[in-house]
Amino acid sequence: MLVGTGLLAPTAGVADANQASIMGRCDALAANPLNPDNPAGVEGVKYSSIDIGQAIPACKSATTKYPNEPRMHYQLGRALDAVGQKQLALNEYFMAADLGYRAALFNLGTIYRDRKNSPDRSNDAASLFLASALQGYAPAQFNLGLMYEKGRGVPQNDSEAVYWYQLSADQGYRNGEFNLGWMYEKGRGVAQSYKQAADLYSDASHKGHASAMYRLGILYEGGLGTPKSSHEALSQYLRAAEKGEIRALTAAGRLYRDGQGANKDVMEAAILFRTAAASGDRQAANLMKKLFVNQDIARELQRQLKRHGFYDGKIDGAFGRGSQAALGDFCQCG
Amino acid sequence: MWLRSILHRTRAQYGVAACFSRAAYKFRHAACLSLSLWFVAGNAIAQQDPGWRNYVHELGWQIQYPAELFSPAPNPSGLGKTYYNENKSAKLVIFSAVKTADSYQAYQQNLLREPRYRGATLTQGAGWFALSGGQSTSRFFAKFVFDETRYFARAFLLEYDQSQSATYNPIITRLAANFSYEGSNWESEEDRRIRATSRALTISDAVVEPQKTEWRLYENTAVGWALNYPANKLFPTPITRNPGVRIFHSTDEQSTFIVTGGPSRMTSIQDYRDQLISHGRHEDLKINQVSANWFSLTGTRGSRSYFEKYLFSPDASDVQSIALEYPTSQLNEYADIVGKLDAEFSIYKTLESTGTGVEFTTATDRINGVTVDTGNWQESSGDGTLSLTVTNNTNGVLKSVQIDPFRSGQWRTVKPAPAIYPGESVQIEIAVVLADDGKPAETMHRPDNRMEWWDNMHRGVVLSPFQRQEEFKEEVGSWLFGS
Repeated sequence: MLVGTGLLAPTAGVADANQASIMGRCDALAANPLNPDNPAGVEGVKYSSIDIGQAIPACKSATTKYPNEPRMHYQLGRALDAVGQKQLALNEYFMAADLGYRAALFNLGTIYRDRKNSPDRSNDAASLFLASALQGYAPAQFNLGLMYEKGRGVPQNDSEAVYWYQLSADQGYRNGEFNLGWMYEKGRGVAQSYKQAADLYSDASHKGHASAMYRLGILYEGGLGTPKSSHEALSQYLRAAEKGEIRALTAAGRLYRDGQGANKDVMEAAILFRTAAASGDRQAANLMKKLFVNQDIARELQRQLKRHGFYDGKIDGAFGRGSQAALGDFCQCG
Repeated sequence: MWLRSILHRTRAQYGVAACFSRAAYKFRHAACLSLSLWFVAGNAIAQQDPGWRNYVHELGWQIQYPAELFSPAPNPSGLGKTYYNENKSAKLVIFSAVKTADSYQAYQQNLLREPRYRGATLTQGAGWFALSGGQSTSRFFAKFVFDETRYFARAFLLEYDQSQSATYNPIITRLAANFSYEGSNWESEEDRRIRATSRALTISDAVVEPQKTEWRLYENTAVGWALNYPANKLFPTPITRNPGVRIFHSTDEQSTFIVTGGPSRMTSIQDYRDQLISHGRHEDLKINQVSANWFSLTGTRGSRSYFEKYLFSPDASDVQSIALEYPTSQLNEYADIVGKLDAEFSIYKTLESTGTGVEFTTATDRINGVTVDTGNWQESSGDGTLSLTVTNNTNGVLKSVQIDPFRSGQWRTVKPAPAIYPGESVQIEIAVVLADDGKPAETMHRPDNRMEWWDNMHRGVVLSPFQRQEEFKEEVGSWLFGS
């Protein structure tokens, strides 16, 4: 008996090590960095960074050897997806999803939701999100909430949307926190509460959610659910703008123009408006136009441009093409 | 599989079907015609072969559906596929349903709350449940099969008008009876090889020991007859160019069994026998039995023994034959087989009237037994993808087929990998370059619906012999041979 035990134990250990090695290679090459079900220590690789030449053979080998390991199918699906083998990727996602892998169910849901040039499959997408959401997968809970909010694939239902947003927010999923905050702010599917909205926006903004920063700025600016504070509002707008939130550029420009939350700075306002307008923000374009027709402001802008050596015309308050070109040269903003 | 559905018909139905066939196409047998009309009136489609064909879902399971009754609707592949009958009054949906509840029990209860299934009658068993019902004049039947450990149930839903019950009730019965989770599992190529190899080993091992002969039914629908053959001793080789001939070999290829059928082209049985013997293949003829509508020849040819029997139709215009040749050293082993073949092969009978007896009459044999069905269409950023379903109804392994999806003369050679085995369907994808108007650039045709101007244009079917070890697939009963 002892002999038997002594012989078997190392063999089992070798098998485990082999499995860990084969699967570990696939993990290292194609795991999703955002997948909460990754084994400890697996960092994951972004789609754009997947080394297809290595990841596909490694994960194929893993799925062949361990066909009942859904994570391997999921990761092979990612690698195939990255190389444009959509159909093969779909098959692998299916296999992982059939084994209940929640990230795969979620991926399939997004594929069916976002299919273009084909009949609407939102219904299937909602079912897939639901299957994943029931397993507590926060992105799926959020997406299902979104489907309910928009009435895609499921009947429009704000209360259901709030329910699923809440579940994802409870897990600290920033998109869920933001959308739930929005529902509180607008009183959709839940009793209106700026306080709740501000708290949720705050949570999401701390995790880097740009829109949450912008909305939180608006609440601070209006003193809605928070103490009124233009300074805090401007701070949130600028953080959001750094993250690429265009509307925050406009809002920050407005505060600089009016000297709220910071010293009045029409040049800063003009630059922010111009940057936002160049990105397609109509409100910013309108505000910029109004700024330029104000002769006092126009003169100030011309003076500053001249001082910096970008404008050599008259300081006449007529902010025409020459002045606007100088502003463009100065700020390199559109 | 549809062959088996013929087999399962009652004798009375055969009689009527045969009568109807003769009456309709040869304009004779008036009595048969009158008999047929009442029978066919309310049940015409159900009595015709609905062309059962495999649909393989992307998730790796399969189901047989009545392809002659339904055409696929263009929709994206994935969770399901929808088929309509000719006038779109009936719809068949084959789909994977994701388990949107903690258990299939809860999922089933959720379904019953959906408007579509509200008020449905529920029947269930281990690993499956079915919902049936209807509103106003429409009827539906849905069956879900599942494995509790898996997240996708497999299902079909058939919706039809109440007036079509006579047509679709038998279809539902057949679909439901053959649809189970385990039964719908689709074998991967690797699984198939493993199983075939292990089977082959089992059989070859078993051959060493004396074993009981296992008899199976062989049907030849081309010439319309059937007989039992020793299935664990003789194995069918690929179908020959002449559909009336089928050859079987033993695993060591020392024994051969040939089954034939077709017109006799002789005026009498005696003439036929004389002509046959004059060929000189029967020089060591030992037993020469003759009866009113058959004769048999038994003898040796070198180190081998042969047994041949020829059975004639009542007017001697058609003949069926069996010819068994085996090493004389295995006489003891084959004695019982010869005896049983002789006893069973004594009454001339046909499955259905088939005219001359040498032509294929089934729709699935249109082009060398290979069919290509319309599938799905997707397009994005200047490129289009056409998904087609290729079905191999031949007895060989489909290696290659040429397809011209838009009748533009631009043939593409499709080499499915892995090759398509007999009775299997696979989906293939063809990339199509789109013109500025979003339609395929390769054709001048511009109708609105792309799928309507695509109609099974294919040729150049390349088959390879179906290896013996692969043929054990038949033993699970999915293809030509009944059990």
